[in-house]
This record gives sequence, C-alpha cells and structure tokens, in this order.
Amino acid sequence: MIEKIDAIRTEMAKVVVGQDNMIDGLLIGLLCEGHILIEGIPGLAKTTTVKALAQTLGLDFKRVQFTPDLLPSDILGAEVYDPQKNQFKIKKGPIFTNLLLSDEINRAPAKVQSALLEAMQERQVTLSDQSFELSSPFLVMATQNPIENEGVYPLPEAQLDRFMLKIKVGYNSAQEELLIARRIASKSSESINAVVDSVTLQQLQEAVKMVHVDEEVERYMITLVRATREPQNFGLESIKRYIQFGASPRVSIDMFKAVRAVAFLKGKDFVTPSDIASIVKDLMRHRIVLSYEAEAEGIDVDTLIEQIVTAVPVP
Amino acid sequence: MRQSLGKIGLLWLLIVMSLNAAQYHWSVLKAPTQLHVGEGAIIRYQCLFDTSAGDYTVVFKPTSLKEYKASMVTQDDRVSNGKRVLQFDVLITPIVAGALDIRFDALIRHTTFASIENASLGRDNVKKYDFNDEKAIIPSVKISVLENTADLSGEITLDVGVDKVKVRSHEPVHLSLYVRGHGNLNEFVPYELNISGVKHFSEPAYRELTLGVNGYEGEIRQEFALVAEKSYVIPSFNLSVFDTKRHKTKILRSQPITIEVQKGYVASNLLDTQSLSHDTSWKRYATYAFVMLLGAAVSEILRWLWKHRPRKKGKAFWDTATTAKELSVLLAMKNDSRYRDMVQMLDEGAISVHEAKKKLRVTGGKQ
Repeated sequence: MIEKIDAIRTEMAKVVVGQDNMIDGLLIGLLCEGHILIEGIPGLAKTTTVKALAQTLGLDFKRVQFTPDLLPSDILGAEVYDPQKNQFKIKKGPIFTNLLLSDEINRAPAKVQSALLEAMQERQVTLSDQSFELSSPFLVMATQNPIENEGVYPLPEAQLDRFMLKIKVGYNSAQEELLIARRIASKSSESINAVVDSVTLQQLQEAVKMVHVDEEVERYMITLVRATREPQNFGLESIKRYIQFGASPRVSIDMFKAVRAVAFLKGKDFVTPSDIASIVKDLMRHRIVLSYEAEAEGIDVDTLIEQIVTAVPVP
Repeated sequence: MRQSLGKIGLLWLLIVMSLNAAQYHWSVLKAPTQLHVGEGAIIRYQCLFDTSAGDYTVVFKPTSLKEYKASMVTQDDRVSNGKRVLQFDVLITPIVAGALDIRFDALIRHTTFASIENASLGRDNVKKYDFNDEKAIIPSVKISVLENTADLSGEITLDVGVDKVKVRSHEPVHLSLYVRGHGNLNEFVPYELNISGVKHFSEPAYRELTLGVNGYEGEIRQEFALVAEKSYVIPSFNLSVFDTKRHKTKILRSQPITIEVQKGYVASNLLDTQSLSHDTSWKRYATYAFVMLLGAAVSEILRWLWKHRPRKKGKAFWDTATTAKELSVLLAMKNDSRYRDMVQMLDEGAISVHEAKKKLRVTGGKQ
C-alpha cells in the first residue's frame, strides 16, 4: 500500500519542490478524511500543492477563491427561479465535490466562512428546506494568509475547530528555491497523472485504520490534550495564564486518527510517541485560544505546545 | 383697465397677507418725565398682540448710550384673554443733564411655516429654524434731566465701625465700612485710607447688589486692617447722596474714631527666624565634587560587575531528555528533516540516548 503513497509523492514532486511537511499534512488529511487549513504568506505554493494533490487522485475537484464580497450562496448554492418551468429549483454550489480548495479563506467575512460549518462537520448541505448529502470523500483544503496581513478576517473558533490540521508553511531552502526558479524559468514542469482512484483511496483509508495504537500511547495522547487545559497539573503554572481555552475533545478524536496516518506514511503498523510529537503542533495550534496576556507578551502557541509536550511524561 | 386690475390684485394680496399675520402694538405704560442725574427710574413697555402669537419671538435688548444707562429689570410674557401680552421693565439712569429722548428698537421674529414643518418631521437636509424678521416701532420717551453733583443717588445709609479701640502696638484693628440701601449703588467708588504712621491692609470692596425696580439694592462692604505703633485717629468718611424720596442732596458723615495704641509687641519678636544658612565656603563645593565623583565611581564598579557576571552556558533543547523516547519526542516535535533518521533510530532502539546526544552535539543532527 505504501507504494501508492510514494506514487502520489512522485507525481506531486513534478510541480512542488520541497514542502514535505505540507505534503505529509495533506496526505494525513486525505487518509483520515480530515479538513486541512494551510497558513503561509503568499507565494509558498499552497494552492499549487493542493491542486497537484487533487490531480493525482483523479477525484472531483473545485476551487473557490474567497473574496470580501463573496456570499454563502456562492459556495453552497441557492434556490433559483426557473421562468420556463415557472418554479423554483435548486442550483448546487461548488461545495458539491470531493476536494474543495477554499483559497484564501480568511479574505471572506465570517458569514461566508461559517457557511462551511455544516458541510465540514455533517458532510451535508441544507438549501431551502432540503438537505443534500455531500459525495464521499469530501475534504476542504483551505489556505489562508497569516492574520497579521492586511484585509483578512480571522476564522471563528467553531470553524477552526473543524479543521483537523493547521499546517504552517515556511520558506523553501536555498537549494529548493534555486530549483523552483530554474523550473519556472525553463517552463519545464510536467503534467500530473492521476495515480489513485477513489477505490484505492478507500483501501488506503482502511489500511490506516488497521495501524495499532498501544493503550499506553492512547493514554499519552489524552494526557497531552488535557495538559493544554490544566497545565498547572504538569508543573506548568507559569503558562496557565497564557491559555484562555485548551484543546477541545475534537483534538483527541482527530489525534487518534492522525497518528495512525503518520505511522502509516512512515511505513509502520504501530504508533510511537515520536509520531504523536511530529503532528501535535499541527493538531493543536489552531484550537488553543490564547489569553490577551499571551498576545500582549508575544507568546507563540507553538512554544506553549512544545512546553506542554516536554512536561508530559513519555510512556 | 389692465393697470387697474393689477392694482386691485396687489391690494387684495396685501389685505390677505395682513389678515393672515398677527397684529401687534407697542406702548409705554409707565415713564418718568423728570429725573436728576444718577437717579434711576423704570420705564414699562408693553407689546400687545391681537392673537396668542405662539410662533412669534420678540427680541428686545435696550442698549445704553453716553447720555443714559439702560438695564432690563424684568420681562413678562403671558396670554391674557387669548391675546399675548409682553411687558418689559427697563431701568433708566441718566448720566448727563438735559433733554433725553429715549428710543429703543425691537425685533419681531415670525417662525415660518416651512421651518415648523421641517422641525416636526425631523428633516435633516433643510434649515430647521427660519424666521421672517420685522423691526418694531416703539414709542419714544422724553425725560428732562436735572443737574446733580452728589456721589450717589437713592436711599442710602453709611455705617462705619471698628472691632476695638484699644490695642497693643502691631496688633491690628479691623475697620468695617458699610454702604447700604438702593439707588445707583453700582456707581460707588471705594474709599482709600491714608493715615499717617498707620499701615493699612484692605481687600477689594465686597458688593452684594441686585437689580430691581428701585435700582441696585443691597450692600457694599469695605474691610481694612490697621496696624500702628502709636495712637491714631480714623478720620470721618463723607458721602454725598441725592435722596430720591425727598429730592434733595445730603451728606452722610461718620464720626472720627480714636484708636489708643499701647506698648506691646516688638517687631523683631513677630518675625520668624531664618533657618537657612548661606554658607558658600570652599568646603561646601568640595563636598559636592566628592559626592559626584563617588557616584561616578560606584556606577563604574556596578557596570563592571554586571558585565563580568557569571552566565549559564546555553543548553540545547534536547539536553533535558533522559530517555531515548523523550529524546525522540523532542526531536520529532521540531518536524525538521535533519532529525528524521535520528528519530527513527531512537524509536527502533538502534542508538542510545547518550550516543544520540553526542552525535547531535557534533553534527547538529546531520548523519
């Protein structure tokens, strides 16, 4: 099975240079059916990577560019009047797809961002008085610019909690950047082939579920999540005032799924604490609400997570 | 024929306009015919409308001239038998003798219908308050003003008193002077004391006056504190007043007051001793210089000590790990490709924590 994952990686490498963490995060989301939020400054191949992944899967793919004047009906669809038949009919929006790329999701106001809430959690959309099931798999892969940027609206907490992972994208290394520049200048990027179909994807997802998680490791994960809510129980009284709300129970649920995928991507059939450590920041950074004191003192949520993971005893 | 029709139309229009507008009439209800200079009297004006005239505003502000002073005392606005009546009491005080011809102006302001509508509807794109102004004709008042050289006019009394007549030297005597009554008290010029060998202290005259139909009514008070080493006499105070009741001038005069001063305090005993020394010797400057140099030396020593304070050596983030699992967790958390193989080896037990740390120190994670 792992060779299928390698095939996806190979195809994506045709257009994406480096950014292994982002690709791993997207694959984890794909294998666990979790929505992914990718954050990074413009020009770091966020959109290119998501598009490349969609192409390798051969699944139905739609892209919505979020703008300040976007309306919920532009994503979900609406009931429109058909003058020929003299009746109203449902016009489905771009959300009816397998892979939805919500590009620059925080450029649209909160009412549009919230339009995705039902679809992301229930995997269904209600238009007028009818509810429509979304096709399976259904994944939202959203990109956003950092909050500090101009003209962006921060995502509401309920919306953020529905994203399984929030991946932070950084700059490529100097060597990778040189390769990107050469490739673009010579226009030598290759076309991507679909190497995995929906049946194979389903098999991969089933294989991930088979990865073993020891009971002690399970307890370790729960302890980690609880430590974000009560850091003082782990000798971290000093950081308690920085955390307004710790991670929600959705983090525990998503962590149980994600760590299996992490181990699977490494070719293992069991989970170790290092697998958890490698994904814990992506799982928690958007779900821990910092206090105003933390913001005033410039405390980074990733630093707090590192302190919590360091403080919790490893099984 | 055409010209006649035009004139008839214009006449009809004027008649309609005059019928629609409220009529008013100004009159003088009360006014003196003869006054003395400085003698105040009330002139009562009345403006009578033929309707309740609720949408009319009357602006009547009598102004003073060099010949007389005019002050508004009261104004009354009421509706009597469905007609609006305004009454104004103006106090006139002549300044110079001769024939006075007093003519005041008033403005009759009629609020326009459009502005009433705009205000009630709350329109915010129009002028909310708009008036049609009209200058009213007010009858003039003629008064013959006679000469008067008195300081004040009215019904006025003068009282002078001291708190004690026998004091010790340098002990103050408090002298109080009261001018009470009504008339042109606002014109009172405060007294200035000048008694040989007496120091005197005073505050500005305190005036508690209200304007009424009898002019300015109330009290003016002057307070003095007198200090001397020898006995002295407070001279009499004189004030010439034109009595408006009896129509003749009289002089108000206080009795001289003798103050007996006995020997008592010595001036030097009453002064505070000076505690500040003005020593400007070289010792003082040497002390200043020494303190400054000492401060500079102490700050230099502290700076040296801070610079050479013992500092802890920097620790790598993995140094806290005591087991292989802890180390692999710390490295994995960094999501850095440099540690990927090391994490795998630690998970598989292929390398001990000590060996891993040693390697990390040497290579920084690179294999």
